[in-house]
Amino acid sequence: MIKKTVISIFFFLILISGFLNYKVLRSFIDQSLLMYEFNAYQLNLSSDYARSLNVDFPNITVTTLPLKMLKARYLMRDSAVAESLELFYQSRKDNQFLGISEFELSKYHFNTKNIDSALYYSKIAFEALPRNALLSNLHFKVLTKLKKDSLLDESFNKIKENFILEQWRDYLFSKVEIGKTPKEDLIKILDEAQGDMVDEKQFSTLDVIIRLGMENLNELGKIIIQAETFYLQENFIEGAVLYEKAARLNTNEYTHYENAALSYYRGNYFEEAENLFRYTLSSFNPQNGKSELYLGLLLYEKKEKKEACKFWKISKQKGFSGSQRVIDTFCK
Amino acid sequence: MLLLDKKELISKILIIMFLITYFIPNFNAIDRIGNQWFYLSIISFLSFIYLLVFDDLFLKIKLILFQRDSFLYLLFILWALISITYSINKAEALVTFNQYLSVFIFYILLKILSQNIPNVKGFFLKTFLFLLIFEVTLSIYPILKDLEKGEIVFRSMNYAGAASNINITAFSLLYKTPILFYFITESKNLKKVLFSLLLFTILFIVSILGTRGAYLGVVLCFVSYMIYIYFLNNNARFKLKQLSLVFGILIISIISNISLSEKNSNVISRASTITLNTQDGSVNQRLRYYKQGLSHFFENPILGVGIGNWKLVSIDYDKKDINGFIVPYHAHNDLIQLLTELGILGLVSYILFIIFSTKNVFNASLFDNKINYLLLGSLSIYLLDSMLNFPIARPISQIFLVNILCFISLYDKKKYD
Repeated sequence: MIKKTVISIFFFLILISGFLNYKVLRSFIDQSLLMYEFNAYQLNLSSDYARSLNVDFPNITVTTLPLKMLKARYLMRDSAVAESLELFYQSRKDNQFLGISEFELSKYHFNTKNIDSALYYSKIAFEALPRNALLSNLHFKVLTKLKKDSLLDESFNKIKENFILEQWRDYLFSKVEIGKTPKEDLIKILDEAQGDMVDEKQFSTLDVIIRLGMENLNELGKIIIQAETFYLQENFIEGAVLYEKAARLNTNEYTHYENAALSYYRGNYFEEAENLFRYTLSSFNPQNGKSELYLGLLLYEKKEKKEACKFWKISKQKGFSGSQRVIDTFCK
Repeated sequence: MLLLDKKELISKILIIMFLITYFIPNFNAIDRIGNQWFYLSIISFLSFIYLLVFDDLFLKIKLILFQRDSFLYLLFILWALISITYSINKAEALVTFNQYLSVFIFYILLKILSQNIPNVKGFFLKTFLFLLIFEVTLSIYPILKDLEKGEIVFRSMNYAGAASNINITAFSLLYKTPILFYFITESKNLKKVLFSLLLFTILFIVSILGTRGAYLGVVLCFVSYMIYIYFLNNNARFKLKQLSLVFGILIISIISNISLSEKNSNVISRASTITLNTQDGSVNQRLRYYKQGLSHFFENPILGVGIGNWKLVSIDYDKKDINGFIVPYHAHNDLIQLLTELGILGLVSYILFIIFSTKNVFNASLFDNKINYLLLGSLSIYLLDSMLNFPIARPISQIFLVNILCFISLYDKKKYD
């Protein structure tokens, strides 16, 4: 009897363990596609595939992103709003520390003009990962919409010492848009930013906007703000067209070309995106590695893995965060 | 007689099948450990069925579970199982628990299978050597291809071999290098030349991979070899000859690296950055992870956060330094990670398991050929890896550890005679 029991326990342990390892392997194969699309800002997987995903075991990716959140993105794309929201809420429990589920919820509420809820979630997301420019961008955008200037300052003060270029730029854009801060104070912040950042050229557009003042903004400033709005609303092609327009008006500023390329890329207009990325690199050779990373992602999608890895390596050499991760994942 | 040969042969095949986990292809998974864990389960299942039908499985399981080391590992596993109940993310806790369980099952099965092989010590040593040769081949081939083109790339991912990660590859090669020292010392003529060439190739690969932790591992390899030679033979000429050979190979591999690499990316420039200087990004990052892990432990010394859940809680500790969504994931020190996840009880049971499985290695009288000093070298390199990285989460590192522990236990006459 004891013999049978011991053997049976051992047998079931092996079977259960094997089954769980199989589930993890299946998930790892799915994660390969999901993570790629997440990193590349893409949502190309079919609805059937997205619906068939197992997101309960395991429920987080190898980088701790909640799988329910990743699945919900596709359901939201397919307008299955209720299902998608349910998954976003559930995914908060799977990883309460990353803030990504709250970011997605905030984005949804922002787009549906439910700004108070958007603020609730964007604040949680921002405080979860204060160095993440994606999360801070949305939080600042929500505060801007609510014209909460003092809350914006309060949030910014928590992160300003990190001197992350995107966060400073987003903050200044928000300050300009809210319009409560005197021009002299904005110039002071701008000078501080330009003094502490390696790539001060990144602020040239803001410099023009602040010094001229919103009310006296020329066509260029309005176009950029409109392009940013389109981009945040995920109207990528409209955003790209406006960034291109901005680039034609100010041909010395590479970020317009880069932003246009990024917008085309996210809108799945790969040919236009590739041309613009290559033009940015050959004409300006920016030193932050961002264009190389996205050009690499685009090339990888075009099945040009070797070329993609080449650009990711350049991006890594230039110190762009995230490039190491894609090299590790895709350049095997 | 025929039946015994068959039993021996199948046991050997199954052990080799366990060991080749390292070479399992990726199958488009995001991390190849997924394939490796699953493959390990398949071979465990096959081994179980075989032992159930052709062996006295119950008796052997009973005997092994009553050994102190297995019992301590079982306690560790049970404590990890209990920790699932208070984990924040139970599914993730179960994923990690299952990995430890897979290792435990493998540990039991390997011990049973190894009892079916008459010359099991020789079998283990030769198997380690063949694995080492395969691993070296996978890394040296792309290096030679680049060398032909005249462009060796220091720390290139292309040289990572089957592990797909240069740091894992470097340590995996070094784990087995002390065993190669044994073959170099024991062999003569052509074999000695071939083994020496293999040692040169390993040291050259490790120098090109540029893993600083592995450079420290090379030091441990050579220290263990010096101790081994010191105790092996009283003949001073013999000692000098053997040591000159291996140190000569080391020097040639360093010179080869320097002459083939660019000035600022060679073994010397990389080794010169080994320091506890907090200005170094990688060192600073690890020290930060250790501090966060320890401070969490002091707040939760008994229970910990639950198995597999430190990767989540650590985000909160490290949030001021996380760029994008790149989270720490591991504490980069297995002992600290166990402390944070399973508290003091989890760590103590794991450490006791390691101590009881390895205590024989300190008893030189059990080892007629003094190989214990080389095994101690292998274990020290594993320990170094576990202090700097996370071998506890990698199937290939765990398979190596279990094999070494099983090999050491073969010298315990009380258990096996």
